[in-house]
Amino acid sequence: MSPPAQIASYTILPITIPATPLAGTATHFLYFRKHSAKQLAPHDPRSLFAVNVPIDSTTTHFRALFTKIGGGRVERVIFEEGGGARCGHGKRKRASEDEEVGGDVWDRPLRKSGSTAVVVFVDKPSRDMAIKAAGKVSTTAVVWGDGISEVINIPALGISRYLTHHNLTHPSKVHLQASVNTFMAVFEGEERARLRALAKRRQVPDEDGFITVLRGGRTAPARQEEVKAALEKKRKDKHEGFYRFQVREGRKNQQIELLRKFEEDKRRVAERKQLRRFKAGSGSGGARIV
Amino acid sequence: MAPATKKRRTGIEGDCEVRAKETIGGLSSEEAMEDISKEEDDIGGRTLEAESRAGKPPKHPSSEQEKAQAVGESYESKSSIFRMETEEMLSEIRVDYRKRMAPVENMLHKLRNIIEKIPRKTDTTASILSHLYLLIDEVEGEMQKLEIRIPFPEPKPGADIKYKFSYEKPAYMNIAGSYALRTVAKQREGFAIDLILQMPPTIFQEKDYLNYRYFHKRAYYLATIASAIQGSGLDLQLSYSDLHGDPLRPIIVVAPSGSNSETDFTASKCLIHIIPAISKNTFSLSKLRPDKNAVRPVADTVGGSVPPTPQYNSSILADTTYLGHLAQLHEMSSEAKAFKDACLLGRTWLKQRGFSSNISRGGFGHAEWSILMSLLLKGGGSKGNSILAKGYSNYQMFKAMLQFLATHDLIMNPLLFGVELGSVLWPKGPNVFDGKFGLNILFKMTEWGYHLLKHEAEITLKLLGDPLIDHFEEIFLHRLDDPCYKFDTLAYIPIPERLDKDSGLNPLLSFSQRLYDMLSIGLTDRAKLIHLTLPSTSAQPVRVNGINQSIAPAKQIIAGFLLNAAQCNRTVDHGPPAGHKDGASYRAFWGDKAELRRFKDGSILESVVWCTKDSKKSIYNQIIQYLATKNLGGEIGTHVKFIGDEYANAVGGRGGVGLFQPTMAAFENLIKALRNLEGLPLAIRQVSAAAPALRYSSVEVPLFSSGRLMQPADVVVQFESSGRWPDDLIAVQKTKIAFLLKMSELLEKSGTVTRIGLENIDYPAMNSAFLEVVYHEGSAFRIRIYHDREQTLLERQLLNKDLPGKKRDEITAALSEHRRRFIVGPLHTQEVQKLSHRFPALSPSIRLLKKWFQTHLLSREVSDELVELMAIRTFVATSSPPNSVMSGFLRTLRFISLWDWRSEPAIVGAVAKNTSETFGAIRTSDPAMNRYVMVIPTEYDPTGTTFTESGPRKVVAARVTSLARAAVGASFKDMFVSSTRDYDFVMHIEPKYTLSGVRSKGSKFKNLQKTEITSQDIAKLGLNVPETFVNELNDIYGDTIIFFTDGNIIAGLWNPSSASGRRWKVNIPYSTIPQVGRNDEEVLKLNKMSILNEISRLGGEILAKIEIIKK
Repeated sequence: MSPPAQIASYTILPITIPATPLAGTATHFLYFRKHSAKQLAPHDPRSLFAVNVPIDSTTTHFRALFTKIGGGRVERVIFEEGGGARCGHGKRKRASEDEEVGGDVWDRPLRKSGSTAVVVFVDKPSRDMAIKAAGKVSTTAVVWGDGISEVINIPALGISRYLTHHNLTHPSKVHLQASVNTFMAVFEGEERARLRALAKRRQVPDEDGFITVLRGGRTAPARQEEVKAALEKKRKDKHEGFYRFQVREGRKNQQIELLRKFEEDKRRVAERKQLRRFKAGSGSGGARIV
Repeated sequence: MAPATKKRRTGIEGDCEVRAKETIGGLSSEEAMEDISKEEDDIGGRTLEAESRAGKPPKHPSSEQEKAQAVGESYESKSSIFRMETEEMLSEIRVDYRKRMAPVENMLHKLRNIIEKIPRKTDTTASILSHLYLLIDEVEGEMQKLEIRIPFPEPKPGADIKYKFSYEKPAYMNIAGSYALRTVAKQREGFAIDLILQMPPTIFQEKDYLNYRYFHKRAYYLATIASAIQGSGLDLQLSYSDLHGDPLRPIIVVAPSGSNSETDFTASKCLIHIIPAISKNTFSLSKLRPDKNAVRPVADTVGGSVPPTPQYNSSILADTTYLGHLAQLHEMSSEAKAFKDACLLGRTWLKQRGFSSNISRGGFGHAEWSILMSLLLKGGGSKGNSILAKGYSNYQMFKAMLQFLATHDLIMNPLLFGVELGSVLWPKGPNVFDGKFGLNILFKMTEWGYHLLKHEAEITLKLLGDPLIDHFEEIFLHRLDDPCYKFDTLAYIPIPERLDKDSGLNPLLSFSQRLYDMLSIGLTDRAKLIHLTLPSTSAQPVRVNGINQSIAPAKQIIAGFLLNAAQCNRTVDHGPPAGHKDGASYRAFWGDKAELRRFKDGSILESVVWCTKDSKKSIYNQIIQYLATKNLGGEIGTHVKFIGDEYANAVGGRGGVGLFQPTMAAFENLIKALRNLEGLPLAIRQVSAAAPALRYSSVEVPLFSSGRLMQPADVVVQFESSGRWPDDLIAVQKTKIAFLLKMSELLEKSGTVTRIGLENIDYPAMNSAFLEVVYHEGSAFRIRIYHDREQTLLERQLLNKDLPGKKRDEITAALSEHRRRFIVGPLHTQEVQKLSHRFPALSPSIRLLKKWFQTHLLSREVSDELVELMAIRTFVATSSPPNSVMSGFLRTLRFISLWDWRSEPAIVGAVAKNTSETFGAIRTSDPAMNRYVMVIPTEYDPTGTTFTESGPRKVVAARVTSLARAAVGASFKDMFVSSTRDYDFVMHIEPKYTLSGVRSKGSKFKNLQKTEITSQDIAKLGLNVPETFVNELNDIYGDTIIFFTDGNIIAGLWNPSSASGRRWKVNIPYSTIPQVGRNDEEVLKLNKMSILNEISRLGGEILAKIEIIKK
């Protein structure tokens, strides 16, 4: 059965994966179409949206791939968030071009199986050329990782990647100290600025002349939890069973609760009966004798 | 209802019953009618009754409120649901007599006719007086001709005996036992209907009770009946069998032929026992008292006293009791409404524990249960009060019976009814003496059988008293008779070919009594309970040349021991001091093992010393073997087979917690070093352990061989509280790093090697760094800092309703990680430490269990803590905790196999009262069990999900259950054989890169191996390539493949939901192949080849082989 050339407006690009010492040759299928995102980005008109990228994809791989099929030059590739190794937090950083560096502890990040990527070309014609070229590719023409020049050094997979990872998770103390110091300096600075801003806002009336009430006034900032605990305690101190109706209501509630429990138990027993659990010894429960 | 019952009461059984009542005169037939109609009520209106009994509303509840009140009352006794379950079970095991019993009643009728037509045996040549009697050779000749064996018990009558045999029609025939009482229960192996034939007194002489004469005549009587039935041409299978394993009293067992003929009663699923009996006044009761002798020695002992023969006497007396007991039970069941149900409960309880009336199975079956209960309903208490009250419900009666069995020592304090103590003393065994029959009704019970019964009653009583958990299934529904699960260790002792015939009436029994005494003296307080399981006697064919159909039981005694864990591995036993009068007997018992030793305190004692070097055999087994060799001969001694040691040897012998001593000492050192640090900004408040290695439960014993670093053990450090911590999660993590750096700096000053490692890089809210501390003797620790405000910060974030879903998941994960790592983890470690000291078998059991999970590639999904909790549950859940690795391990496996984790939590120890509500809430919020599958609440983790959140998933949990089921009943070896057959593909890790490969020293020559820790070793500390690899695979393919690993191989299972094709979608979480499916629709199929290729690319040289098991 030959695969269709297109699926739901996506062009299908079959890629031959060379055999490894342990696994045979396989064909991987990449799907792509013109990129159109909800939030427009400046590079959208010259981008492709690719689905099902191989887990070890890098920008270099894509560059080589599109060069091979005769498409245009790839400027960069933005991979989907949440791959095997994620870096830091915040979208800005991910979208940056140095994705080859990956997270702090991996020299080469991985992509989740079946994940997507946005391939940004140098210009719009390059992209259109790529789409056109992809449509003509026969099943065995493109080989994954083919055409990557020796000069570009992609970190290797396999054991060396894990050893590097192990070393990266144990950074030198000097570096670590420096990064902590930087962070703390920034953090403290921000904190101070925030407090100052708050203090300022407490004093400045808005256009209607009101001063907004904000946390952190003169008294020490009360912790929400403490207030809650205090409230809870207050509620408990209320005189219970002082009035007759309270006693009566309490008893009634208790009875309703018991009745509910009784019904519940009855239901449970019936359920077990359904499972034929009451067959002594012969049921599923019986430990077999040797 | 009355006419209906009348119609029903046709057939032999009804007939006989009437006759019985007439002859006994105990019950009027009216009462009998009532009895049966009540029975009908019971069956017909069962559901109604179940409800009303459980809720106990006295009248029709007029209002909701009254009903609630009634329910409330019943809840106060905490047993409501138990009672409902009891009713359900009773209704399940009750037999529908009318429907099921018709074929067998028909057969009983036929048998009756046959027996009635047997002519009396006469000898025409003899004189008038003796014309009824036949001589032994005539008798044998007659039966020889008919090809019928006479089941003479040993010793068989000699050719020279003077007494003569005869046959006359039974005085009456009757159904007795539980069938007559209507208390039979459905069971897999069916039940037996006792057909009692009362032999007429005319065939016996006054002195026939002596020297087996009665039993020989009885055997001939039985042979005559057997020949008549055999000759009648009925399609039946006849065999002789010893009644309740009593070799003196053979009976005929009538089994259906299964031929589907008209008379076949296979459908009734029962056997007929034809039991000859005698009337009470055939022999003088006083001559058969337990202190009388009825078997005269062959040699004339003039003037010498002859030993009493209580067993023999009881065997005769037991033949007089069938009808009497039936009447007694009938009377009781009409007086006490719940009597029959309580009998059924007792019957079920006994059967599940392997007790029966058979001597080899304890000698206490449902017959003894009901008779004892009827006696206790009449008396037995102080001042003649009854112990049980007639108004009790079935549950109360059952419980009170157990209470009696558990607390009343019937060996020390015999229970006597209508007789004075003195003449009825019973040697070595329980005694419930019924003066009416002159019989100890527990005469078949051995000392060990009684102790086991008492022990079981104690356990069940404890379960019944549990205020929180309802142990119904454990009490009634589970089979608990496998000795491997019941005892801590087993020894299979072969029975010598030739038992000493002179040693008593039942040579096997006296042999086992000798064995029992020997073992009890030899093991002293090492064993709390010793039990012997004797082989049961096999049935004999009726015909002379008949083929014996039953398999001959193995000629061995199974000795089971409940050990005293604290004492069983003691190496020295002290005897009497030198020169003491007991010294000689001590020496005689121990032979050349006994030696005189001088001890530190200056005392000189006879003593026995056992060797611990031979680590293959535990000390108690050495003792058993030694004693067996010495007293029973080398032939037996060398063939004793022990079961139990292999379990302990699999985890490094009997070292127990002692194996971890160096690790614990190293940890103490670490604490000291940390406490002595000067210059930390905050003082250390607490250093707690949170790793399996520090709670005696890691599979590998750390610091066992020198030159090998241990896997770093987690340690949690908490500082004094301070207001200067930042109020921001990420800043908290950074501050922690600053603290770790400071600690590292201070520790390195004293020459300790430290490293800082990063973790959870992708999860900023989680703990981000740890400090590794390595000592040169090989210990390694991983310190993390616990800051108690983190929890509050995380919880506060969760309160924010605008938190995006993804972020919320992250925070939730961080919160549970925090709780597991810093709060519950240390508490759990503390608890396991404590329990490991309390139960010496706990630590090795946990380690063996972990090994089992590892063997079956499950340890990735089943966390260390979950395994530990499952084992702990076994130890704390019963009043009889396991005392050996075998029982600890096997009982936990059995628990896993039985645990219905879908519908119940596994409660460990004392937990909060609302546990079941919490569990209910968990299941209602996540009925598909996507998040929490197994729930195991403890005191310190009331929700019970802390250690099961990250696995096992539902599929894996089901696999755990099925593997445990397969393991229950398998041999030790088979339990630890894992097959990769069930997986889709298996990847083998290159041995160089496995955990042990990475840690090994790399030298080819053993003697060149370096024994000190090098900086290279330290650099590799914590490096676990396969684990990192699998974790990464799981991140990439988690939705598509389930990975199983033991560190050496990785097995994968394709998720079946991924394997089927899918319509186009952008975010399908796996690599796909586009295909044109049916209806010209494009579907995407899982691209297995490409994925395997990717995995192989990713693994590179880590992988040695990829096997595809299923295409």
